[in-house]
Amino acid sequence: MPAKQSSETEILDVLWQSLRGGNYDLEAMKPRLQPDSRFDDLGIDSLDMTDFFIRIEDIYKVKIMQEDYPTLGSVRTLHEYITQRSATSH
Amino acid sequence: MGFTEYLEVPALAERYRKVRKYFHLRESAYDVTSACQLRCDGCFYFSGEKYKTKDNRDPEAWRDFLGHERERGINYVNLAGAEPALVPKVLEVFHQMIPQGNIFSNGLRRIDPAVRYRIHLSVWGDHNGDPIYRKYAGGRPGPHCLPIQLENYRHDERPIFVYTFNNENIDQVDEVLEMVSAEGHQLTFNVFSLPEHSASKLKLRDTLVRTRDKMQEAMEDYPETVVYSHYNAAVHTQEQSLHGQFGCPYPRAQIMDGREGVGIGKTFRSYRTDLTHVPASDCCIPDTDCADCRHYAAGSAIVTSRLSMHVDSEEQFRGWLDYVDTYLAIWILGYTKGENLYVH
Repeated sequence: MPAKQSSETEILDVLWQSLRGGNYDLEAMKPRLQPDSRFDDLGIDSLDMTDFFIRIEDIYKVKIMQEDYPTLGSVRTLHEYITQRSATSH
Repeated sequence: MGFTEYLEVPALAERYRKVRKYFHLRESAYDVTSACQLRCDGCFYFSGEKYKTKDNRDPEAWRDFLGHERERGINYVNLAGAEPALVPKVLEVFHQMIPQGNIFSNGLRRIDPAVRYRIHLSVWGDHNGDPIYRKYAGGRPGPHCLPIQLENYRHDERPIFVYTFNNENIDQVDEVLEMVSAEGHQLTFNVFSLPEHSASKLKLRDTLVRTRDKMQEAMEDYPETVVYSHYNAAVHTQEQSLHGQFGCPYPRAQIMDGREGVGIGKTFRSYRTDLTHVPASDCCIPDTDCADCRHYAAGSAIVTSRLSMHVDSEEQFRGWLDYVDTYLAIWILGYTKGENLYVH
């Protein structure tokens, strides 16, 4: 199945849906969820990051390599990654 | 089906919500003393260089140090040694500073009930095997530890007994199960893993399948006693080590592979008794030969962190859910394991 086009806004929405299942102060976090916010600075646990990445894989039909996790530090870099992976798969 | 579809299955969604509450746990390991009454075959504490440090026995030095660990985000501690029960004042400080944790102990001395940590009591064999595998420090045959452990921890909810299968003791677990079950305690399994540069006769050679079968049999015969799952039995008895199957996330393995760690690969430290750590040694049981590692402690991090390797099928995801549910029951005081979702 071909990869789906992504946008930063959509990816932020997926992140929000993912975080809603975790142990976070969502009211405090929401204003900080920006495309260039660092996941580390947001205090997201690594397993919750995995949850998020897996949801992204499901929606956009791209594989996020485990060894690439450390480089995907924000929604913006993730969006660039997905766009690049999608282009390569065509 | 994909991950989001698996979560539409009510039993899976419920289990995922249950275990996800513990994703925030951030742990490290602390050797608190180099003293021990025993010298067990294949003991990891006395392998490598780490035991050659000078113990810091000052509880206030540990208190100050733990303040920094808390600032670093550590909220779960694993206390080992040699034998942590021999430094009760240090244990008290640990519990005051970081209330969640676990102590690995031979159980020959009772830990103060005020230290409300999980306690993992090691069991190496039955009345014949234990004294052979666990000699006294002077070299003479050691005690049969299990009766002493059961006496010390009667009516105590903190401990879980950890039976380590090795190449010779597979059937010895029968007596152990009967004794632990009779006292109303619980038991889980470990699989012997070679220390580095060791050719120990305890390494499982052509006995992995028999070990797996014995684990399954124990789960069926003692469902209230044994805290384990079919998926645990499967992954801990493969020909490949846990590192071989999944890739270990601990700093030690990441450094050996030339990788940048994430999560536990960045935060986990294995401190020595002088409060120092060496990144190249930072893993749950340093000085293990990674190519033979089947430690239950290692699996708790390795399998749990590899959620992304368990979503290609619903069966895999069920296995992962059972594994994490089992590990939480082993490590978190008061956590109750649910029914197994993975059908082997």
